[in-house]
Amino acid sequence: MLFPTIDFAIFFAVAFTANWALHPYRRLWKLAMIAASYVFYSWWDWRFVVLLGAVTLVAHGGALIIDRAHQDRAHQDRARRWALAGSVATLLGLLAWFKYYGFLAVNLDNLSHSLGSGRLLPLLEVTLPVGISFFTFMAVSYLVDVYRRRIDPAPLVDVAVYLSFFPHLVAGPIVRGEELLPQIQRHRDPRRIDFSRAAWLIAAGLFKKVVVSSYVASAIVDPVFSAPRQHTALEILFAVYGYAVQIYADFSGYTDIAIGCALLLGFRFPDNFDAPYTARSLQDFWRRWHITLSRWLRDYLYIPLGGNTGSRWATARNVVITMVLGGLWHGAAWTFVAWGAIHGAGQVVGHERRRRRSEAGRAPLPDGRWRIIGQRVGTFHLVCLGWVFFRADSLRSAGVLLERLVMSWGRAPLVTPLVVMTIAGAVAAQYLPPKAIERAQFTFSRQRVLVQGAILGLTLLVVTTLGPQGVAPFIYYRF
Amino acid sequence: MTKSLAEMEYRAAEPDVADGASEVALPRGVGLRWVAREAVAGLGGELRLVRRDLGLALGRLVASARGRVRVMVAGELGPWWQGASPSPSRRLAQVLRRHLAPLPTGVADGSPVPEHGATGRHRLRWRQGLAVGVCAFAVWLLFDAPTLMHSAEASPLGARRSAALVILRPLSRVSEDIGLSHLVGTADRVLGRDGRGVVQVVGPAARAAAPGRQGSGLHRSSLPASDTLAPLAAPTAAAPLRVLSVGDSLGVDFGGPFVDALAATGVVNAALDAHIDTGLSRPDYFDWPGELHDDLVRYQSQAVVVFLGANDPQNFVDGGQALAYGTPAWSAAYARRVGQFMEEATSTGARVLWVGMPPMADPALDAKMEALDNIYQSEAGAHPGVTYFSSWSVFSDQHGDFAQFLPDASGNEVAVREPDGTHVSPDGAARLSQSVIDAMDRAWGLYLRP
Repeated sequence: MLFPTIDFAIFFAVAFTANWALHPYRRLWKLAMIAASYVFYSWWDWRFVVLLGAVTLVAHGGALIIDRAHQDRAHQDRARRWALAGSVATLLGLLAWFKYYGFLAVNLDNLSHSLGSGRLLPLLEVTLPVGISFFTFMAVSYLVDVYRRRIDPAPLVDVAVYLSFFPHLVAGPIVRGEELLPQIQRHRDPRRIDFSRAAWLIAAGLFKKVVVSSYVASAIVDPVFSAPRQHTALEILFAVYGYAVQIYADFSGYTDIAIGCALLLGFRFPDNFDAPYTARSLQDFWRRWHITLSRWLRDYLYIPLGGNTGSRWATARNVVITMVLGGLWHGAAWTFVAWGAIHGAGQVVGHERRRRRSEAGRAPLPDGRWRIIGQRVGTFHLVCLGWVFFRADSLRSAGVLLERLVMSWGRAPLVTPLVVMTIAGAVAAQYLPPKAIERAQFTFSRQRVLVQGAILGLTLLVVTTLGPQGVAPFIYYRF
Repeated sequence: MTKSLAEMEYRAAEPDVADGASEVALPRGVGLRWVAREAVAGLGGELRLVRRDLGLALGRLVASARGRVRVMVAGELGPWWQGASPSPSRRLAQVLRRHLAPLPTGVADGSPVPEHGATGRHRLRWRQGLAVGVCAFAVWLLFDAPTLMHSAEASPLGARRSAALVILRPLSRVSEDIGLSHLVGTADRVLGRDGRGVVQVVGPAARAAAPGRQGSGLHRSSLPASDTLAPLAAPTAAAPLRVLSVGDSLGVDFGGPFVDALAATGVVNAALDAHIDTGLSRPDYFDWPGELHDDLVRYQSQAVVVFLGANDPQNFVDGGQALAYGTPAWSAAYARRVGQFMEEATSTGARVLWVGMPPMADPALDAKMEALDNIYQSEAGAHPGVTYFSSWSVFSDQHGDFAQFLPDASGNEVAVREPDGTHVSPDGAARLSQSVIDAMDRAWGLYLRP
């Protein structure tokens, strides 16, 4: 079930009550949370829970074998590596089957067709389970952390709670074992729920997802991207800006709701966004956008590849491979590969410029106001260039959009004042000082229960009145 | 000694020193069977302890509820019994102060445990949090009950709809009686929301079409009836053919590339009006006949391409009677609605190309689409000016079955359907667009090419 629905509101009310009523009884609480999470996941399709169960068993079994190999000192290193490799290969194999088989089969088939050979693989479209990329990556991080001896293997029930916990199950954040497993074991105080911060996250998340993202998508993004040849340069420009706002509002809104729900249950999730459109470079952007994914790619892909410890070419290669695979993680299409390649190339170029400057003995340029503004505007537009490929139906469609962006100037009826204000307002909101938000949360926390309820009820009313009819599709949930 | 699952604890791992051993095999006894044995043994132990905890939890819950009731009764009735109850106005003031005045800064809410964290924010107990949530929900329901009731009435017939209406009807009456629902109604009017969406218009004369809705189809003006349809003149850039594409979510998938391809001919002015989750079965949810009427008045379309039906196999109420899908009465009522929709389009002199639903991956849905296509084809034959075009052959394999992948013009296999096996992919939409344009050429004696 999706977060902004009545179904989830009723489900969460039950889960919240069960969480706190049962929390003194550790085992009962764990089973109740597993049951609630599996019910949540089965709402899409009951068959998905079999996959989730299988991933849990593979992660738990693999961790036990790695740890057991560690304990037996006579057979350590290679045995542990084989156990890790086998478990991770199984998990990534499951992900590859469900997510990439169709893509691989079609491309191999077309390649063999162009070479005059027969079909290499049967063409099948495998149903993509919701959230598979997220919980598979969490399972891999758990296994690697056990291998690196950062954490000890947990009991099966704890691993099941960790991987299936419904706030993060469908669309992250990608929480690590060392962050969540100790919280599962630790006592949580039912008298000290940070309700005001959770309410802010949920209310802001609903507003961003239901109001901002839906409006921008229907007003300009979907019409332009579905028929690019019929729109002028200004419409395409604002559709690209609009998509930047749409994907940020949609995804950050969803993870804010997830973090807020976890906070209401007494769990602290890592932040996933930190005003990404205020970034001054692509490297800075990836420290602010989908933070948990970029951390995962850094720790479990970039560093094992060698990171920046080798030559310049090795470092550049590692950056590009990491970003391309990160792009492919988002979807099985060449447009996502192109998106990853743009970010990889951009980071390599930026890093090379800084390196040459320091090697030439020149001091870094001073951070003047106009320089900072220029960096932010430049980085935002480079990110928007990547979004063209991320959103386009195909590479050809992306090419048409970019060509018309430069060549086709004319009237732009879709660029209305409300569209411009919404996009500008959404980007400007990223510059809100954090202290102002903390002040608002503090003032809210001082209100009595009835007053807080009335404020939240009116906020919900504003969201449902301004939002569209029905539930807008959520961009990231099929990843 | 091997650790049991219940004894494992978290600790900071200490770095270990390798002793240089190089044998590859895992320790004896370690493997899948060992893992399974450990898991089963651990699970059995956990279940025994869970049974014990469940008994304790239920016992404490009952005792706690009894205790709370006693305290509440003593607190409210005790002073009254002893004649020490304050006056009603003073009592009301005390209650309002207790429930509405903000907490003083830095002082705990009457609890021995300080509740504000490092940021100074006051924390809540979980029951207070639940109370806030229930209160928020109640406030929202009171204001928005009429809107929610209309949504519930338009939802698929069944137990869920009936349960929602039982709750929402009295709330809606209360909301309307005390005037709270006017806030939402006023906001909808200010925002210009009439339940309809944005209509995309593209083509050589598209910019001349003025935006803005003409109003609800419920107040439709009468249009001149047309017994015979005048032949279509060959369109030119100066006098483009005006085409309207309507549909549901499949119509959304198909419509973008379709109007794009039409406008690329340079002699077509194409408008797209498609809405997800809609159809002809539930006019209480979305009034397609009214929407079509408004579009025809506004765009003066000469041709209408219809691509909907995937949401229609559901029960609906017709003439006060609930009709179950699959019954002859349902089919007759649905056929009447399809016929009325066709008449609405042709009444203005427009031609209609009704594109049938494609095959589906799900066998049950596939059978339903085939049944609907029979109705569309039959009604098209009975209405002059309406041509039926089957998309079945466009999306099926050599056996006439559902196909996820089909070869494109250069022989490469492309995905023509989305992974859900229902919706149409961009490549599939392009394929169908070309076939529909060819069908328009054949049916109306045109030649629509760039």
